[in-house]
Amino acid sequence: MVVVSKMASVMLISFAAVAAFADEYKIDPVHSSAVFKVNHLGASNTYGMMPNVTGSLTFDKGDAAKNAVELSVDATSVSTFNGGRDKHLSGPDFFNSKQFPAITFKSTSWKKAGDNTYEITGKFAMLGVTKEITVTADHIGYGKNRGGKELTGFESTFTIDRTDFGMNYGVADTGGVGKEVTIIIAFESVKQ
Amino acid sequence: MNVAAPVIIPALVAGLVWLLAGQLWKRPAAPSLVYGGAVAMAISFFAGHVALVGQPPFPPTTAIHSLVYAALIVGVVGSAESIWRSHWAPRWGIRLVLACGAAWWQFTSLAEHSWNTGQTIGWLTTITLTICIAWDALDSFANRHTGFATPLLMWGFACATSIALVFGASAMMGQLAGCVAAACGAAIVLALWSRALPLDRGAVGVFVVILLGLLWQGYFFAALPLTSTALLIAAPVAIFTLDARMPERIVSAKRMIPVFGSLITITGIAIWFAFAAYQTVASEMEEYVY
Repeated sequence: MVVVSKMASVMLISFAAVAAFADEYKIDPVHSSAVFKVNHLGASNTYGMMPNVTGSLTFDKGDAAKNAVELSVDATSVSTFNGGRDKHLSGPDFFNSKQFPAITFKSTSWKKAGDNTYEITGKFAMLGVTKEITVTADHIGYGKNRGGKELTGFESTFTIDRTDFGMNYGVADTGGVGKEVTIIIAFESVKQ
Repeated sequence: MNVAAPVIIPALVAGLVWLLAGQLWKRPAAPSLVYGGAVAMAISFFAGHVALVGQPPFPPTTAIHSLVYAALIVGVVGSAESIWRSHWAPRWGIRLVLACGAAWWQFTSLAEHSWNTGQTIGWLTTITLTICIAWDALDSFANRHTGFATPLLMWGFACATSIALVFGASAMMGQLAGCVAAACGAAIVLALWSRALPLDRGAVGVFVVILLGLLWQGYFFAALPLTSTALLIAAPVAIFTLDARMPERIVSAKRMIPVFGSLITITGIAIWFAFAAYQTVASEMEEYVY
């Protein structure tokens, strides 16, 4: 009876331990990127990309409260597939990437908003200004890499007002570069 | 984009402050003149920034914001060194402190993230010394020439800096240099109205801190080539040296020919290097217009 009781205790403790810890992941920059879209002269939208995303993810599918994500986007990696424009975007008029090489997001709370959808609130920092934003993120799924390590990934689309972060250049009522910037961040992460 | 306001507003603000500075045409030697010139240049730059990209936050978040507030501080404190201009020690002491403070404030992010200790000391010393030397050169030139010669020289230097910065991949910084040129334009008009006005006194210090700040930022944060940066920074010193070495018998009007000739030559070469660097990138891709 005592043995059974001890075994039950061990199993309970083990179960509790598994339940208490969410999985830790590291963002894979090779399969992660940030894409942005901004209106140009009121006529169309121009797209750009920052392919270098790094960071970490703590994820428990069953308990969103345990989840956390920290992302850092390398602002120096901006590419719009036009050398002249990239140089201008990297400079002080826009991303000022030599002075502020990283755009970061650090979650402060996660809420489940659907089967594979989460509402994530966190601190978004760009150009030395930090603002709290809430984004909707989709959990894309699970996979395995060639080394057999578990992978999982998320994607989120959200919009910011660039002037909230002091990126005021080129904004005008009659045209210029739009205030609102739509950002898509998609990342793949490797279980540690 | 609104191009006119960042030019017209600084010119109007600078002209107004200069005119209000203690009825300067009546008392040309009054300290209020010195104070007025410095404050006119600083406030007009602030107004230009507001017209172009809005009010800079305080505390500043970017190097440009720091430069705007550094200009205001130099405008107020720096005018004091012009009042005590006969004593070299306090004059140079104030200049060194202001130049070093402005350099640190603008480039502290590089000191924290990119430079090691040696580079931080080296670059901050270089930036501080270039500001002090250019300040001294332009101030000495202003001492030798009344009327519109110095405001015209400052205008030419600001215009050249503006063009070089636009080619150096920052239209905003180019336009901010254009704000300074507009303020100098107001000084030229006032100087033509009354040749006895020492409009440049005090203003020279703020002018140098702003222009050299923009140039160094253009080099570190945008894509202004080092050659262009160095030539534009050296231009005031080269021009003063040329002017000082000319025989005194050459009258003021004739002195201006080689002075402005060298300004056009040096700044022209600087712009050409910036343009060449811009073309290298632009030619790789299809045409890109801001």
